[in-house]
Amino acid sequence: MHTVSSVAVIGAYVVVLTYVALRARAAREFSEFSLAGRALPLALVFGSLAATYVGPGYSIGFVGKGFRSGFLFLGIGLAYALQNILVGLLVAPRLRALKDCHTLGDAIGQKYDRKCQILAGIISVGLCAGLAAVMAKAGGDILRDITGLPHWSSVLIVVAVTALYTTSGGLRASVVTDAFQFSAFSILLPAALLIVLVFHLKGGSATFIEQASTATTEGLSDTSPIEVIGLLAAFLLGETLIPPYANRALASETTRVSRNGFVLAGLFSIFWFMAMIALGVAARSIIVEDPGEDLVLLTLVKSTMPPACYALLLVVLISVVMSSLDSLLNAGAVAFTQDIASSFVKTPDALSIGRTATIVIAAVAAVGAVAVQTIISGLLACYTVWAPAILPTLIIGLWIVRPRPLAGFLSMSVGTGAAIVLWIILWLIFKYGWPREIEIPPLVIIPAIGAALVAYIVGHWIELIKERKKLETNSNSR
Amino acid sequence: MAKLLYILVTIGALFIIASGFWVALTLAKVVSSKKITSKQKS
Repeated sequence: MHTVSSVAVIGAYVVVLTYVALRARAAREFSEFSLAGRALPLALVFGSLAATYVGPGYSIGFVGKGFRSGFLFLGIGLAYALQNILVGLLVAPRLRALKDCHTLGDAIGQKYDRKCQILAGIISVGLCAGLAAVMAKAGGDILRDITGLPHWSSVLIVVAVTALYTTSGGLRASVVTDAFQFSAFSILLPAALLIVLVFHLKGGSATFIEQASTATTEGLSDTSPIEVIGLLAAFLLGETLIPPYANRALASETTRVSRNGFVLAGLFSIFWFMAMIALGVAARSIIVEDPGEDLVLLTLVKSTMPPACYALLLVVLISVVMSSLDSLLNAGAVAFTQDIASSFVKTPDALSIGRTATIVIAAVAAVGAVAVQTIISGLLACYTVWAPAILPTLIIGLWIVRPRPLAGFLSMSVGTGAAIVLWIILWLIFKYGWPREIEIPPLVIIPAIGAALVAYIVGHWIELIKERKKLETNSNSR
Repeated sequence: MAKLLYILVTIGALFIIASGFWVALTLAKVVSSKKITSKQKS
């Protein structure tokens, strides 16, 4: 009976999702595939942004963090909310105001030059593939838990289904299915929290407060100040304007919608982190044995909900993963087509290239999923490279009057190189020189951004000197 | 202070649920009217 009700719930969910995806229709031209015709209303921009950032890290991962270190991670999550609000107020409207701009690489190309666009494209595609591998791993974990299938085949199913509708409908299909998936998880997961707090938490609010206090104290004592600073930097900068977010800023109906979508998504994240951490805190008095960070949410739901609700929540968790995965596949494919392929192919059929790139990135993600150890560490690794590689170049480029191409190129190259080299050095130190369990990526982000900024200033200065010399030569020759 | 945290968590959960319904309603309108057009807006 339980199996029948579970299958019925899952079946109904899949039918509605398929209907929504089909209504999005196949993209007929590249501007539909990449920017959904630049006509997205506020609710869809907001829902899609939130659905993209609420991946496994900000749901399963944050519940696990709440279980281990209480509300410590809420403080760190606030840095993420602040980032979204600042991007909404300062950057997103400027991006949206650019004409004929499909990607971040396009924006960088318009402000600097074609070489900078290609480099930005390579970094964007690499980041999207890396993050997609993390999502594929998480989706595989959940589907394996539902079906009992081997991990590799679970990964394959999640990636194949997501790639199918993203390849056909592009950004429009991604945004529409994101909005549906957002509605599902933003209603069901907080509802699960309220049910746990009201019906399953013995001792009510007093127990909750006690557990929150104990866990937060434990978290603070287990985390060094330098790690907290590193994590704050990673959450403040690491995910800033990654390609799927930039695509939504560019695809908004107006600059106002672009700004408000980011600000609302930032405010939403505060409440979302609070709810996920609260689930983790509540789980401390319900789950007897520590199941491991990534399994706290699944174990909690399994032990408190009826089987049909458990099945529905599992499907919702897969939705959480798929809504992030589809955005990454689409953003990576659009970046490849617009920033890289268009430089090398003379008469590109952009739509076909975009569709093929979606499939290739999906295949890379499915293979790469094996290499991902934990969800949070996988996400942090990607953020660590992204922030120094792109942010100084992009943000300075959008704000100053005449950005110099050499400055952008040097900043992106040095930022990427510094992040990777520092990471390897710290890994060697913590593995052999001074062995200890520590998240390396957050320690890398600030010095690597510093290196990228110095490289930017040097590049800008070299070009200024060149320009002055040229002017002097011209005036002397006259 | 402690009670306040509990109340905040509850209000936060209700806010998230309300956001979910808002997006769901907009999506229903968009899907039924095919509002996402292929026209390029600048």
